[in-house]
Amino acid sequence: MTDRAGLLARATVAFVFLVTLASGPILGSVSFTEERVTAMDVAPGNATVGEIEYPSNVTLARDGAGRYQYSGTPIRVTFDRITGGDVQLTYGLLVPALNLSQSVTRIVSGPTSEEAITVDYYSYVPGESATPGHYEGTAYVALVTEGENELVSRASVPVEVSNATG
Amino acid sequence: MPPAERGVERSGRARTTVRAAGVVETARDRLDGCFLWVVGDRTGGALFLGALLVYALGWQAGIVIVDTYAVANGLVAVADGHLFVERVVFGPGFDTPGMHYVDGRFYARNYGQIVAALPLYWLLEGVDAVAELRVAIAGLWSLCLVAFAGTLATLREDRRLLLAGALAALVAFLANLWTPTPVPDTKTPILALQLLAILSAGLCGVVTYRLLRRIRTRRVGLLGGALVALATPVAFWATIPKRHTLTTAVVLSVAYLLYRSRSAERAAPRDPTTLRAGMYALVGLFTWVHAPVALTLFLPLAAIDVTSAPSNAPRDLAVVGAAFLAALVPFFLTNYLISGNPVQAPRLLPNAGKAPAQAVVSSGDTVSSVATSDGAVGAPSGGTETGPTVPFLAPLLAVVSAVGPMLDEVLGVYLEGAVTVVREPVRLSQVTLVSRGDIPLTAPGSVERASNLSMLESTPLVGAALALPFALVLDRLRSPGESRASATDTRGPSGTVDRVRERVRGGLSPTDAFLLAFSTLLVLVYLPRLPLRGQITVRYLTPLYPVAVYLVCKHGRLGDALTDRLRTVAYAYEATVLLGVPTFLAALLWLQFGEPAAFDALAGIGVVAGVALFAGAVLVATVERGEGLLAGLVGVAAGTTTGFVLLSQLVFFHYGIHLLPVVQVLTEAFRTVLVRMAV
Repeated sequence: MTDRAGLLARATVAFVFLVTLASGPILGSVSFTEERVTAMDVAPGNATVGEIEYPSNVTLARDGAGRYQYSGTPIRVTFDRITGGDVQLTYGLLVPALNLSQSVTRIVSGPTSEEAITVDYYSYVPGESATPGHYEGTAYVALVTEGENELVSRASVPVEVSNATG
Repeated sequence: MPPAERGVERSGRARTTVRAAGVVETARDRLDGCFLWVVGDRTGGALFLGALLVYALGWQAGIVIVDTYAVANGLVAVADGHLFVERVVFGPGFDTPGMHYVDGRFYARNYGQIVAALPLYWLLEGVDAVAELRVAIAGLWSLCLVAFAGTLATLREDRRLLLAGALAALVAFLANLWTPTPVPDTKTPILALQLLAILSAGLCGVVTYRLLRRIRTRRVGLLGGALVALATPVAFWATIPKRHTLTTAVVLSVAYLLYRSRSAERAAPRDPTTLRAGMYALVGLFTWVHAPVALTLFLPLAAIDVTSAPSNAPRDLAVVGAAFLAALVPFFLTNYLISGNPVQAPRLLPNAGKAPAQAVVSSGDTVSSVATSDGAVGAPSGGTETGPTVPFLAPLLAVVSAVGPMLDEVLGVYLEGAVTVVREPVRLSQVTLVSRGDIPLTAPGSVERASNLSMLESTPLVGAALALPFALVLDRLRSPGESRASATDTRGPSGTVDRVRERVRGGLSPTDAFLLAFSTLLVLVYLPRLPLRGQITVRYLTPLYPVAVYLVCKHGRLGDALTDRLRTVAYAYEATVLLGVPTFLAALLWLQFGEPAAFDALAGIGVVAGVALFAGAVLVATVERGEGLLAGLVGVAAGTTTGFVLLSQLVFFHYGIHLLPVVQVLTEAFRTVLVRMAV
């Protein structure tokens, strides 16, 4: 038993090392498919994004319930081509001066589409609301590919923070 | 070739083979020696490897919280040879939280964390150069499994464990090869930061084990170490590229060194002064990662160390002070290079949001206006007002002028925390007991979440820690004059003075006092700012969870009950994880709960388990019965946190591809259903 266990352990270690080394460019004798084998992907498609219309300005009005009411023209994203299934679209707004960042996500179906994304609110920490005023924010559009935000475009957007719902 | 020459050649080959085998054997022994030096013994090794295996299941290549963009871009910059961030590899621009802007240049923060991750970054880049990274990581996991099985086989003297482990490792490796998932090319800096967090989390369990093993027994150590590694938010933050597990590992290591420097066997193998120098050096180096927390570590440590040290002779203090100052040099140097002021950490500099808009959202992801021709390590960009013509005078003047206001500010932070405790006790209860739960405000399917659980919700074991004062008071009332803990903490006080001192302390060792004082100060620092968005498990207070586990395992009846009934704890834990998690998932699908509702449910389960544990602990301390029930409750509470971590990492928090391809395939199925339900 002792020999068999030790032998298998050593063989496993050697096999792992050899295959790992073989997967690299030095030996290059083993190649692996780049195609992902997945059970079901959330949004496995690819998209060509056309025109993106960002809001000209955004107003965040504190409503007293731990969130800002968001006002601004909806962001419009045109998809010229969607292939291979749905895609997952993210629109986000970063306001660094407020240490605030939030995004919303949509699943979009093809083959072409024009999405208008509306945002209702942004949350904040009760007791940590921002001083009313004008700030500079960065709006961005990303596509979620394999669980990650891949940046498509971004733009600087003026953000006005007010104390009460307008 | 004549037979004689053939024989000589053969014997030459044999000698070479023997020599090579000898070299391999020596290298293996040295590696083993280094490993054991870190983990203490084989049990610690098994704990460490087991924790790494579990953490790797949830390892996803990605960023969860936006301020990590700055640290990751900072790592890219340091790897490029300078401190300022020139290329935005991660995130939408320079103006992400955590990025700072000084004289036309962007800087990250937590440079200590960045530098600690740098060797791991180079290692991963090296591996990537000779092998496919996805295969190498899968291979590394399988090798860890073989090592884990081998360690268990040695401990249990059962080679069948090695056989089973090696077989499982082989099958897992083949399965991972069958389902390859490419690692994105640019992800190595993130992986390096994550690897640092994983190793730090593994060390948290190991250091707790080593501390409790020395104070009490190996069984208590194993229980405490396993609870910290798998049943606290340390497991949650293990694969997230933040500083929290590193912070926790440093806190626990300082506590361990403090204990060692006070324990009876302190002379072997190192004298107390060396151990004290080691703990101050750790604190000094940690300043480079996060100065406010380092200061919060330093204040109680200095107070308790000096008052309880076996010797404060000038030579001892000189050694300790020199070690501390030497460890602060990287921190001072980095600050000087960035701001021209050695004590002004990047954190205190203006945020990137204050930068001009054209610099923040620049074309081509670089800042053309601030790039230097030689790319030299960030030259001092501030401090011009103090006259930089005399190289060392300017920083000294800057230090002198900055220290006063900084001290005021620092002391003000603690004071503000104390005032908040008195004025807003509700805030304290929201952080520790029941959160308001802003999870429902999360956008469905959003990658960036605003999830806040309280300490009790995320770690029901906190319930046992809350019951500890009751248990201790009851113990004390029953047996006045006895101090269970003091007898174990400082083995055999030698003189009358020592005995009197022990009696006065009443069971509170210097290590306990340090951990309690640090915990209190840390709460005071962060309480006025909590609850913050994206705290998830009150992450700023992550070191408090291992401290709670340590205190529960170390002290009084609770610790005794748990060690006497370790098997019950283990069975209840396994049942909760193996049955509870699938049941929870099934219920989620059946009831068509979205992610926010699922988190609400998890928070509710956490509160119920925590309250039950609190009541059980108080009951056992009162009636001195029902220890089996208490052990079962601890197992359930621990299993609840592990379940939360597994569900979060495998189902709810999808922020990148899983590094283990098999896990990626399995989890996608659940995620697909949940996202389809939510969006």
